[in-house]
Amino acid sequence: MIDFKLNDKFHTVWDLNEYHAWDSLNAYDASPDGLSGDKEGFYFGNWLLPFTIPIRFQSAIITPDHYPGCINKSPFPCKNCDFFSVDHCPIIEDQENIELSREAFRTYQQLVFIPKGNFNIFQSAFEELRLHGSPLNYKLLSRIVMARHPNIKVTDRQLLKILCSNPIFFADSGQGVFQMIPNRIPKFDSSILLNFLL
Amino acid sequence: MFEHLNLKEWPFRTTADEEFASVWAGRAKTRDQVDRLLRKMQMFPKSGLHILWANFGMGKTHTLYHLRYRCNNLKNAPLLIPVYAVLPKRSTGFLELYREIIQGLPYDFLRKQIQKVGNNTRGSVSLHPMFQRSPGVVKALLSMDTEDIENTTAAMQWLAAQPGLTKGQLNQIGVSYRIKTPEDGINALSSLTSLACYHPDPTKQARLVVMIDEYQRVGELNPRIAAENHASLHTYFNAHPTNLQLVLTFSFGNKQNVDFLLSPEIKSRAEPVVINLDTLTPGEAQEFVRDLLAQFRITSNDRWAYPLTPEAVDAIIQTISRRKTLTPRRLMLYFNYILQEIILEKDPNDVGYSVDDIHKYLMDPQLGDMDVDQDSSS
Repeated sequence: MIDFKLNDKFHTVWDLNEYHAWDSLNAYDASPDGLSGDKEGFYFGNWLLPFTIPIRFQSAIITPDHYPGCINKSPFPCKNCDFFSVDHCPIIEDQENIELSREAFRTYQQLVFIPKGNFNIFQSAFEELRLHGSPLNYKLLSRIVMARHPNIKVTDRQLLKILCSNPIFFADSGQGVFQMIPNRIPKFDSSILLNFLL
Repeated sequence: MFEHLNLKEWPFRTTADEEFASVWAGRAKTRDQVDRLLRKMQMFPKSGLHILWANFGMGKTHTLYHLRYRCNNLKNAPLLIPVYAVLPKRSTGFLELYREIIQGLPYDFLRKQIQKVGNNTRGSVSLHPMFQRSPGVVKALLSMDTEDIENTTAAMQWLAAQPGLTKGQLNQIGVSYRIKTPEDGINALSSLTSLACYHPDPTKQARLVVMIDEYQRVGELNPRIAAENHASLHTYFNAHPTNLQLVLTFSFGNKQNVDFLLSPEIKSRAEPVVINLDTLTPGEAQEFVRDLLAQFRITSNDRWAYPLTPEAVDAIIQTISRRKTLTPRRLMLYFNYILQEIILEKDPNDVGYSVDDIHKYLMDPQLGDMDVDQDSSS
């Protein structure tokens, strides 16, 4: 992950070269001021929000396609807002940093669809689970990947790590069983990330 | 109730319905494969292991119900005795599959078979070679008595390897051991299979058709448990060189993956031709709807699409095919919704509902919203 500062606030984003650093113990902690830089997430209304779909923020459910209108528009179109009440809106309470929230949300919209981990392993696992359409145990998936993509060297453990670190694309049904989440299209273009970091 | 639509019953069902097992619509190639399979099972005593692969929503379970219906309705010997079982989700071992198969067996028939064995055997039935490895099976079957619910329940519980039987209950049904391991299960199943197929005249021996639905779930199992399932199944199959027909069904998008879900031992025993249920073309979809409606007609006439017009049927099919793959389940879902809604609005005229009549329901953005292709992220 890479942390970067904008207007004295932290963003934390994925670094394509640092995927191996991700693990479940290092997951997002969601504390309002917990911008330690050790946790992944993005700034939004004075909170650090996780790179998940959807994001459950207070009582609101936010996705890359369904989010408060003030993220796109000024002034705040609060009348039409289904997400927060005006009295308890974290965005209004943090309106001096609205530009930061907007910037960070755009970052989220792009980065959330960038797969984490070894690109080739991810792509082959994604493709096989997509074609299969049903849940599979990761050890069996590993056999299928190795048989169909002999150029990809992958161990069961490596594949499990890729599956676990991409909950946006793979639903973990427990006991090592994973299924692809429909309608989630990964973005493989690393230039997206570089644009944000430059 | 649907006389004004010239229909005996409502034809569009979105889940497999045992009451409709006799119905087969369209998919002539699969019907032909099922016909051939039934003939093969009857004609040749050799045991067979058959694979049925179906794409999502293609009517795999209905195909098995239909196969069971056809087996049950065969008039001439040898009989085909169907057993429908489902591989449990996240099975913890072969005993769970064993339990499913056991619960599908026809016990009244098996009790009659015991009498048949008794009539043709000198000495005690339990000494017959078919019960050598699982003598408790005879005792359990003999304890099943419609007038003694306690004993019948205990016997069923024992056969199904369910825990909780006390020593007293075991004594009551006359068995001295429990079915605890896959080997115990295979032995009991083998005895029951031999009993089901028994006939003193070998040419009249019945065939036991064990259909295991959702076998693709083996791909979700820990490899050790999956291996136990495979090994047990092939041991069971090997124990019956004749009269046993195993049908394993798989439902997923990539047919080639069947190869990864079976052990080499099972693959080497499987029949070379897989029964396929793949997605429909628009022409096949129209044939499916036509055939389905025809089977529910009160009187047949030239208005095959009634209460819709043929153009309205085409419009529905085209709308689905523009967005998604065509499957029987999806056709049922769309036709069911559109017809229900339009019938609530008005009765059909003599020619049936037109494209204009159904337009607003066909264009309902919520229609089929939840029903996405499993691989729709491509």
